[in-house]
Amino acid sequence: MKPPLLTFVGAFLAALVLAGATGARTSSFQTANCNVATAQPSASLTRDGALNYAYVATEEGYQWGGGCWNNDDIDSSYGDPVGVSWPQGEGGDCSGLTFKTWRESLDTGNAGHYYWAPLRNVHGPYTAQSFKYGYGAPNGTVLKSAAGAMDGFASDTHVGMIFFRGATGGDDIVEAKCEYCGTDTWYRTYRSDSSYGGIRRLGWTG
Amino acid sequence: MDGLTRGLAIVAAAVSGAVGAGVQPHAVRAISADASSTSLPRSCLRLTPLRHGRIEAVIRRGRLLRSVTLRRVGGSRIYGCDSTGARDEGRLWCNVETARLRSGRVTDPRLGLLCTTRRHQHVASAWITPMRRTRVLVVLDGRRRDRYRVVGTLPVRVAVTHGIAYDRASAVFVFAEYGARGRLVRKARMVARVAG
Repeated sequence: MKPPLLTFVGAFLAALVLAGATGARTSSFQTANCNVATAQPSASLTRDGALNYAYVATEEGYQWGGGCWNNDDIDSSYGDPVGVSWPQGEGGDCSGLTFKTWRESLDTGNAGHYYWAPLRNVHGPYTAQSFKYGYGAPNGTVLKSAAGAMDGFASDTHVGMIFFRGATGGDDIVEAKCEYCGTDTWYRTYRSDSSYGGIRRLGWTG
Repeated sequence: MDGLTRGLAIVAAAVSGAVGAGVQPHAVRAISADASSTSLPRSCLRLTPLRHGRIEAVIRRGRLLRSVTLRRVGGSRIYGCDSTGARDEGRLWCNVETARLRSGRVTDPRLGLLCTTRRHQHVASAWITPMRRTRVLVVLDGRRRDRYRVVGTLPVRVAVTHGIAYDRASAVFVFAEYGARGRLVRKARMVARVAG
């Protein structure tokens, strides 16, 4: 039979882990900088405007489940643990970046436009897979051959938006890629990759 | 009593004796078949890249959710489909998900928040990987307790309507696991977030 103290310590440590304790990180990027302001309804959603919005997010980091960044071109949380949301670091993940860039509502039945400031911490209810299959009123699918600027490509595990349509088969894609990659634009061949489908935000005004 | 201790006390009080009266059971069926077999749920299979090989599937029908969890035998990725019967957007499956397995455990529970009940109440669904000795998983949902029998080695897809912070795209799952003869294996609280 284990000594009682050892049993207690083991159970206490296990409880800390199981309860998802995040108290060890008392000042994350999100807690220090981000807000929960109400999204602003927006009459317009232009592809140029979305391009500029997404470009602000580049070089601002990546956070699994995240959705908050500033505009200083510094990844303030580089090297955070991968694949977990508790570090609350700077940056969105791929679906969070797409949700905010496409000015979507948290209400999946609402296709209207809502502006989320970069420092507004929001991810939205969609995953890359949700975007791939066009879940939600604002989201649709499009033939990959017809996808243009600020349309996107989504697989079961990743989503990126077209920053610049290429002429030779690939495209410049703006995407929140990974913790050590960050958020940036890269030349990708998602258009010809059968695991990716074309996606489009419905209701562009320009 | 600090928050952590209070939380664990709530878990202990809520799920104690849960394998018994007041617990809602659900139906579960395990299938292992070729990808072309009609015994597999084709409408869900179509939403995955699983076209060849032997597929193992667990189909659950519970109080809130009908779920399918699929994997190619020996594969390291699982796929899933969730349905509440409320045909939002005319879809049969209100949520689809995929997760990587590492040493048999999901690396992320793949929280789904797109499903609603017929009364438009948000439903949160997620995968829980039970401990090896677990035979039954009991999940607390408000005043209700839902019982999930563990079949095979695939994670268990569970659903709740309480503990959801929809605006923050997160949900808390409080559950207990029981082994043979109803012995408690563990009690736990899992915070899941929509991600990826």
